[in-house]
Amino acid sequence: MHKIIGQTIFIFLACLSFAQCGHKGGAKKEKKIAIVVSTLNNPWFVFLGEQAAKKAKALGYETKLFDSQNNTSTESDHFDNIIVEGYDAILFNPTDADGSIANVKKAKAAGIPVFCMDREINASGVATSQILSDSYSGAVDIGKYFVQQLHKKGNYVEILGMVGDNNTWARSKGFHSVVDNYPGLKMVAQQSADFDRNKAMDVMESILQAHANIDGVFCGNDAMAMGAYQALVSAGKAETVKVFGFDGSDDVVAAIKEGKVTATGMQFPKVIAETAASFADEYIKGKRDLPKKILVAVELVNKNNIGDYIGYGKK
Amino acid sequence: MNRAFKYGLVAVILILLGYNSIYIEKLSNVKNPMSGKFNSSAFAEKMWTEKLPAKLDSAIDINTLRALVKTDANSAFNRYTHALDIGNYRYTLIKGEGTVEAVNEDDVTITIKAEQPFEAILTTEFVYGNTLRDASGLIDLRDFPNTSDLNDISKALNEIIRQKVVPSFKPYLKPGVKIDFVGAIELNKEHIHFKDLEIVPARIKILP
Repeated sequence: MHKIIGQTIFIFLACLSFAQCGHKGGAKKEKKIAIVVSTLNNPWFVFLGEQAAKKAKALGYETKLFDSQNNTSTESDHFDNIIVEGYDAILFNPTDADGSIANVKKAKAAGIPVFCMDREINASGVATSQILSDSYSGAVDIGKYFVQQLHKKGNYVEILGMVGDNNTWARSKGFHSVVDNYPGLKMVAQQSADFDRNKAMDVMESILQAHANIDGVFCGNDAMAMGAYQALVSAGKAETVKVFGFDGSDDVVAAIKEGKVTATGMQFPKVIAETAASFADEYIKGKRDLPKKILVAVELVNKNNIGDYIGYGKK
Repeated sequence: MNRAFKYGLVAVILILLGYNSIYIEKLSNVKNPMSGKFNSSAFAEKMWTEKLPAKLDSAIDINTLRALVKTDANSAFNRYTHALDIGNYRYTLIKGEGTVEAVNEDDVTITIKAEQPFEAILTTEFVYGNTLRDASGLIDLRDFPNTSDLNDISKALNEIIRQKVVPSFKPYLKPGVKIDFVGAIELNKEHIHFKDLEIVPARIKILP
């Protein structure tokens, strides 16, 4: 008798729990936001992705972080999965300004809004909004400080980021819009190191073999600045060559404090990520008049104001 | 004769076809797809002569701004500053009176007249960035979806300062000279420093 009562209670509770599950899933399905980042090999993008996920979670969304490994094919696979899995929005750090357009179009066709973070795609009206660092203006400030620190003369090297990324050229053009006004400054080498620390070290080592007499190095990001600095240390030139980066990463902020790196452009990945997540939330809730493109100011960090900053932002 | 006419006609057709098949354009124009569509120099010149003078006339006194920033920074930034980017940099047009301390290669050091006078720098060589463009409050981001046009406006305005404004006053300055100035400044609202303030000079008048 007891056995029958026990079995009846068990079946009743099981039915009740199934009914609860059904009720929960049907009436209040948790919305999902995907975060697709170009590479998780660079701490800056790790921070960007984590901040985007943190904000989206705080706004009540389920999140998942995807690493494109700097490869548009991998990125495309992620977009396919995101579409199949029915995500409600994508916070997107594109791998390539042109190569990533197709992926954004694919998401748009599936009715999923895409919010570009930090990196731009070369198409208007495809992404719902693009929240970007003002790389050009940030590099203008670095260019001005570069000229002042080198006293308008000397040989210098420029190490570019990925050639398919708009930020690479925005930074290079901003820098040259100042530096090219000073004929005493001669660029002896300009090479790409794909925003990668190890590649920048190799590139810098090769350049130093051909050009022993240099006074400054401008790098398109901080990872490359640290790579270039390592090469200069190995060549015994770290004391005489001034290194300039761009990002505002932990290690470069520390290196500026120690006098190893001269300056960087502080980007604000937290502001970018949080703005993108907030825009996605507003869009999901029905808002449609979001700005197509919004720029986040980049601040010059040097020995004079280093006390105001920490890695990836302000104190 | 007929034969010569035929060959001549064929030659003319070939030349016409050849001429219309190719065109020569500067590589810089090809690289920059916006070239020719937006004339930043003409835009900046028009802004400088037609719209900016009224804005310069209404610049806030540097001492009033400084006092307001100390007592109510939010209100000061909201009322008197502009920026196209989101972030901490804010820009504004300021005016005041100063005494020249030193005329340097790249700038002029002045002491600004105030209850507690303080030093500032009139930038004469390194006039770069968005300070004047954004301080004017005349540019709306929505009118310029192309960021390269926005950058070019800054460049063109800075050119006007370097090539027209600076030569109009710098040769006449020496220590002790008193001036009336209107210019543009950048302030970081998270870390406000009036020490070593850099002023982009827009209008300098030498006082008797």
